[in-house]
Amino acid sequence: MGPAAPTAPLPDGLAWDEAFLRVESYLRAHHPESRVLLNRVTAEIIDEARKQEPRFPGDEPVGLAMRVAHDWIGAWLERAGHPGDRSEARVRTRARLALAVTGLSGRWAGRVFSAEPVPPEFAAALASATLHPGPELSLSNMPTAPWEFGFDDTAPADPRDAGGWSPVRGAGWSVGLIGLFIMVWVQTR
Amino acid sequence: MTFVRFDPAALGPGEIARRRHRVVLLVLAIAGPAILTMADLHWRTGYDGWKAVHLVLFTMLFGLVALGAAQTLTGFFARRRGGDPCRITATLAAGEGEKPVAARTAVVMPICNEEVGRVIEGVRVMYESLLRSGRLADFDFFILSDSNDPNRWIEEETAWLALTRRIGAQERIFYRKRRGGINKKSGNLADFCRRWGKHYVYMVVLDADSIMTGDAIGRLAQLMERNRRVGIIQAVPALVNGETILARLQQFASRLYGPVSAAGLNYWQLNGANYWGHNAIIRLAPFTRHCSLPELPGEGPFGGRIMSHDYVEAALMRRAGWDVWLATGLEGNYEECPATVIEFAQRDRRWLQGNLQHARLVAAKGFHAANRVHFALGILAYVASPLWLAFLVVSAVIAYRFGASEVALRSVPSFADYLHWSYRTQAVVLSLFTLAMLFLPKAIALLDLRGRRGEVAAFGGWGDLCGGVVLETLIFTLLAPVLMLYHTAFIALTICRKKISWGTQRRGRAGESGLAEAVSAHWAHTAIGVAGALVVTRIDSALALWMSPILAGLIGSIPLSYVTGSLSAGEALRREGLFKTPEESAPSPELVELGAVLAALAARRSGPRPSPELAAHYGLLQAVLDPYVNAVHVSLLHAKDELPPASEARFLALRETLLRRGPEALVPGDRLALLMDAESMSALHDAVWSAPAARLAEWWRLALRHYDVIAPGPETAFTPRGGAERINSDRTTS
Repeated sequence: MGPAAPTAPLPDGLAWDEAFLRVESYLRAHHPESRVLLNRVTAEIIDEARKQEPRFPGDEPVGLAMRVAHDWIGAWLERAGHPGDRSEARVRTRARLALAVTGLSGRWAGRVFSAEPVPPEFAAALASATLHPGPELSLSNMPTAPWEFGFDDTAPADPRDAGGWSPVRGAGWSVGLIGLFIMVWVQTR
Repeated sequence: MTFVRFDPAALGPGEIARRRHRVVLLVLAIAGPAILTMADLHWRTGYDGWKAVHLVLFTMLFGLVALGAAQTLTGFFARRRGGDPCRITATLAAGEGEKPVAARTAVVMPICNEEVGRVIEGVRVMYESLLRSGRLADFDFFILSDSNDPNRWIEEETAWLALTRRIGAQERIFYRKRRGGINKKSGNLADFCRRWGKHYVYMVVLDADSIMTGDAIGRLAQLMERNRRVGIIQAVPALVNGETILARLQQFASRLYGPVSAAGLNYWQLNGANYWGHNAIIRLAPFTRHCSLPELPGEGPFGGRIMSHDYVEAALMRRAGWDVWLATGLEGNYEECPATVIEFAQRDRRWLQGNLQHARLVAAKGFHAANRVHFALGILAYVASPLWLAFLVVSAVIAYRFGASEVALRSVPSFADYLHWSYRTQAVVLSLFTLAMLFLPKAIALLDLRGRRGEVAAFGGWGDLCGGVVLETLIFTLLAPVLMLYHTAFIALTICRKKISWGTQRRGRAGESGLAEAVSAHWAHTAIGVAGALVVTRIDSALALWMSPILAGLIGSIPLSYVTGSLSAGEALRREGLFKTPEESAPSPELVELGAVLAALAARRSGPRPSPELAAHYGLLQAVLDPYVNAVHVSLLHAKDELPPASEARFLALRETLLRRGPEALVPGDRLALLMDAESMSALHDAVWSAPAARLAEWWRLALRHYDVIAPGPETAFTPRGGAERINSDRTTS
């Protein structure tokens, strides 16, 4: 797929259509359960963005509408007990994470962007939501000793390896068996 | 029967040496007469250089055959009368294994670009099995990712979070992605040990395809608690979930011959067993202290980073005075196996390189003799292939010279005279003895099942069992020369420091091989087989007959590889009851559950997919566009302090390129760099959603449409079941 072809800016009406679709897609990506809610909130955001247009004459509708959408989400999160300065990317990320950890399934699935008052348990869950990718670090060292080569065994002798049955006796049996084969060979020549 | 608890600490003086010498004597007793007969055959026609080489090759190869036979025989006798008393599993009385473990244990699964659904569901099944067994309290799970494929990486992150939320395991199942994959799997585990090793007494190491029941995991931990001198216990996993003929055949063979073979291994290894890298439990304190892997001096293929770490870690553990045991007969412990000949060969390529590197370690100071034997046998497992090939070539040369010079038998004294054997009879007897030793493990395994009616029934009864053995023997006999050529080529390429380029694996359903892939992988084997058949037929028809199984395997390698890798053929054999295993007849609840959920996942995968352009970078798409995936990804990245200006400028330029020209305009390393930069990922999320389409690359426009109303709902692990689809369907209808 090639790079972006330089495309002419859309006429004003179409640009707001694009903004509507973009906001709707973005909100939908948060998985609200109700389609009615989704449409209503999107329309609300676009109305607000159009009202703000004269104050930001250089802004394109999509950018402006998305800024209003972020503000709207921020206000909803504040109502849901997750306050913070939404102009900071990290805060917005934390808020989305809190929603991902808390609000997407089970008990709270229907609460995302809901206009109803947020239940205190949901607010508490949202406020305490965090990721646990691992326990607290407790660093330790893994020392590495360089290899030494040679057959002079330096391993500490295992007392269980020694005892009444010495390796010499075992070797004796082996030598005896090989000797027997040699004897058969010699005797049959 | 009265239970007699085995105490490894009080292993009788000399018992270890006595057992090992018995096995050596048995090997000598089996190999000696065969070698003597071969030497006598050559003696009768006069020695020359070719025959001397032939005898040396025969001695080495028959030594390996004799070791296999001796191990099977000792295993068979060890399993009689209630089993070998000297086995680690006999240190627990009945019921003791079920008790909760009072030691913190980490269950770790190192992964690298694996099938995410399989990994996550495998972890879930084991977690819930431990929960059901009432022993979960002391176990934590870790998914340790080294994935460098962004699609896999992002899928892992979201699937992990979705799983922990779904089953309420937020602080019990952890996920860690390393920034760099230094030292691969061993480095991945070492990283875990350095970060969190102090929190845990034991670590159960799994592969991405491992499954262990809660009972098996708990029992392993109990065995470690009971035996405080033990550093590693390696469980013997049963192969499961195979669907192709080759996979089911491996399952069947390993399940049928495995227990006797494992008992034979345990007979001589005792506390000097090996570690196979997974389905094992490790005592973390000594592992952290003694098992860090130094690099080998020099560069590859025999120097540098140690590739096969497991054998070396077992040797280091033993060197530090800790025991390593093989846990035979531990139920509920499974892994999967390669589905096709090509995958089998690819796996062997990796193992072979690692094992060859151990040649240096055979002579490393301080290792116990048993570990040196493990290294040597690991090398010989692959070096046997070129030895076998050389043996076949030298045999053909000797036959040619025999015919060309019309060599007559010398009238020399031979022990065959005492037995009134002709030259031909002597040769036939030797061939039959060799075959008998090769097939002894199969016969012994069947004999071992005598009196175990339940097990025979679980294999489908004697009819299916014997049919399976015959077919398995036939297929493996035909496949053996193909693997011989693969191994020989791999060894040559490894020594020449060259890589093999495999054709892109074209698969139908999971693991199935295609005909084009089989042709591309085996045309050379077929050509060698045809050429070999022409040559040996010209030399001697008897030689051609002797070599016919080998030549047939090579000539038929393409259809053989295709058919044995076929799912439908595997299914047909399953319906016939062939290659049935006890795990198929009566699968554990964990296997049933995993099978069902994987089938459901496969069905979901067959639904609407993103277009190929988007699918190639779907991980990046989700990490940038999806508000939740982006938040999880950014949060999992380590928050960094302010970047130096040069880096900031570089990331800014990369982001601009990505936005204006799409992901294909960046090299994979740059895409990964962006994915690893939290600030860039946050900035990209805002920038893509806030920019008019006209300012974005065509790829992003397509990606945004994917999130729009007309396209199918974008799938992430966070997608509520039916939620996005429902909205889409409503929109489409309206």
